[in-house]
Amino acid sequence: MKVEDLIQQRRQNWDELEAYLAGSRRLRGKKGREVPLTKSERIYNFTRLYRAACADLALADAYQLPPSTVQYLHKLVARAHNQLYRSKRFSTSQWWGMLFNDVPKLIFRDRYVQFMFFFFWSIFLGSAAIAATPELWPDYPEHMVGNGQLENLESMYAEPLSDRPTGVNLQMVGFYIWHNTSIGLQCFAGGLLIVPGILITLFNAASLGAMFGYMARPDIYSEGTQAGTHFFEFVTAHGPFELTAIVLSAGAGLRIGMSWVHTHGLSRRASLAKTATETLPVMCAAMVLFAGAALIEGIISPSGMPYEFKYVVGGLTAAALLIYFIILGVPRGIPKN
Amino acid sequence: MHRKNGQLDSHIPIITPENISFDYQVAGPFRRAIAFVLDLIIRGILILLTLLSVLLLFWAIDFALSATPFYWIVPWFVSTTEGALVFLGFVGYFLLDWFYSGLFETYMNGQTPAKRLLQMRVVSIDGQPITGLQAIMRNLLRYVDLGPAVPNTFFLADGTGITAAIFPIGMVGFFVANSNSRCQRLGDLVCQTMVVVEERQRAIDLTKVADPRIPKLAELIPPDFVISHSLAKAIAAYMERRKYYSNARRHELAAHLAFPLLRQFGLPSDTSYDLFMCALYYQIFLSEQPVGETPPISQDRQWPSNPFEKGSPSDPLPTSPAAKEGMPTSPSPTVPPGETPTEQGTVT
Repeated sequence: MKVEDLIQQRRQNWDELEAYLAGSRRLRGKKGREVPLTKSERIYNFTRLYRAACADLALADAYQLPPSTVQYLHKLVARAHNQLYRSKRFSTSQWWGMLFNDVPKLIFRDRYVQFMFFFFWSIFLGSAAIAATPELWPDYPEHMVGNGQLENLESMYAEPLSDRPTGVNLQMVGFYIWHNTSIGLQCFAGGLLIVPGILITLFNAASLGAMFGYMARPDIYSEGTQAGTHFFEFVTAHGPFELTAIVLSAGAGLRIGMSWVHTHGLSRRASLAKTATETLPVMCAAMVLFAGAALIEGIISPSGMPYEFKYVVGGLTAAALLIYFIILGVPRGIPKN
Repeated sequence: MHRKNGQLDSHIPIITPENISFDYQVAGPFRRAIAFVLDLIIRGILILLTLLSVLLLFWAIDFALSATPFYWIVPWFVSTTEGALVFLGFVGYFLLDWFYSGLFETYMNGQTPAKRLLQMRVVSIDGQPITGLQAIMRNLLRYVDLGPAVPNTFFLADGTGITAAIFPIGMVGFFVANSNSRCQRLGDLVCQTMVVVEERQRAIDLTKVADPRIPKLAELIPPDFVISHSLAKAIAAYMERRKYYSNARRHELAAHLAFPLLRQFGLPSDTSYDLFMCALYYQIFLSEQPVGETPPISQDRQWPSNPFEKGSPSDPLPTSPAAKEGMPTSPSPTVPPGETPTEQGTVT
């Protein structure tokens, strides 16, 4: 048989497949009329045409098809393959188990999260200690966060906290979700190259510490407007969630970065790929914490509720985190591997 | 699936679990950069639309309420609605900012709007479609690929400068993508994905040969001559590109293959090489595979006059002096009979 005739004969199949790829829902009928097809007919036809095109490509050498036709077939089959196999979406049914079973266990034995925990808190407390003692380095908070922001902070908390309109609360919840989760995601993504992740975490810990320390200075905390008192009243309720979420994202990022270094016998690429699938759930948990923190920060923290209530909220969230990490996280039963 | 030494183009072979094997063309960094900028613009427009619609909704509610007798409820209602809308605006901005590409790639089968426009798709390196996890992760890690960020300093007339903004310049992703055969940036390496070109290509018809001399010349090719795959490929490649060449260039290229074959078949050496290539092409692709008996052609067959001497099929042109002398311009030593000089014939 002539190659020319063979191509002519197959061309009909290929053109039909092209039409399906272009999104056509019709098929040329016997008398050249276009007939609408049902979904099952379309799927049946599409798979039939795809199989035929695959067979043509596989037999291209035996048929002695010219190179341009072979190249065309490669592209056609690749496109049809991508049309047939669709991306897997999120299976929401697994989320619950992942969040409350896998992630705490993962975090509990994750040395990088532990490292980031101590790293963040030591920088934070150290920075706060320096900022809180004016004799040591009077200009430290100004160097860290800038004069404008300090004044801003002072004037923000000059008045005792009182109930705000619901609208403003909602608005602030949105703002905190965007702002804080973005910082967390930056810590996470930056961790891939280790140094940026550590630097972003360092910067955030140090500047947060400077602000806390500055507000704890005696002249601001208890004298004058008592801005410090109001500030600490503000941060108590959402602090546990927010700071833990930052530590978690930075730790998850560092874990990806360190998989370049500690490959555990795998190739660097394989080690990286294996770790990545493990760390995204941790980042998801961190994002949930950020959202929770934003809700508390927007609604409970700035309200005029008694300080004791906010204190209890802060304690409860901290207790919830401990339960989550320790009680859910302790390995039980037979280890999987 | 490592890059072979000979690989010059960006084709990556894929074997699916059903044992179907085909090539993907990997998208290069520049094409992807264009798609990224385009996506950035689309994302910007979407963010603007989100904020605008929030604003418009707010105004509409305010306006509608102020005209009713329930005006007394307005201050509370408006402030709450405003807060809720601003909340939606912030969350929408946050989602578009960080998850725009990831969500589109999950729900549009590996494509963002710009990738669809530029005919690209994200797939796993084994050719399978990506999962939602991969899509989200590779786009979160773009933050690193876009680095390092450089401060953009504007210098004022008095010599002082203002650092106005920090721009990510994307060199990390660029260099990483250029250092591996699949053009993967860091996010792709972590998620084991790659971006492939998914262009629509028109099927190219076989080249038509109109010259009536060609079938006649093709009949003179001995029927027992086995045309190998590589020879057929070389001839097809020649014929596909032939229309871009001048006659002199055609002659020069065809000589590599035609000269030894003409000698092997005992055809006169002043036959137009180009015409001979067309005849081979005709024989392979356009004619029935030879089954009949053609008289065997002996080496010493005498030709009173050669009807195929001059001219290529499209444009008759006298053969070059070199061909008249029977000598090709490039070295092509005599080939022992029965051996096909396919290596020399690969004209690319």
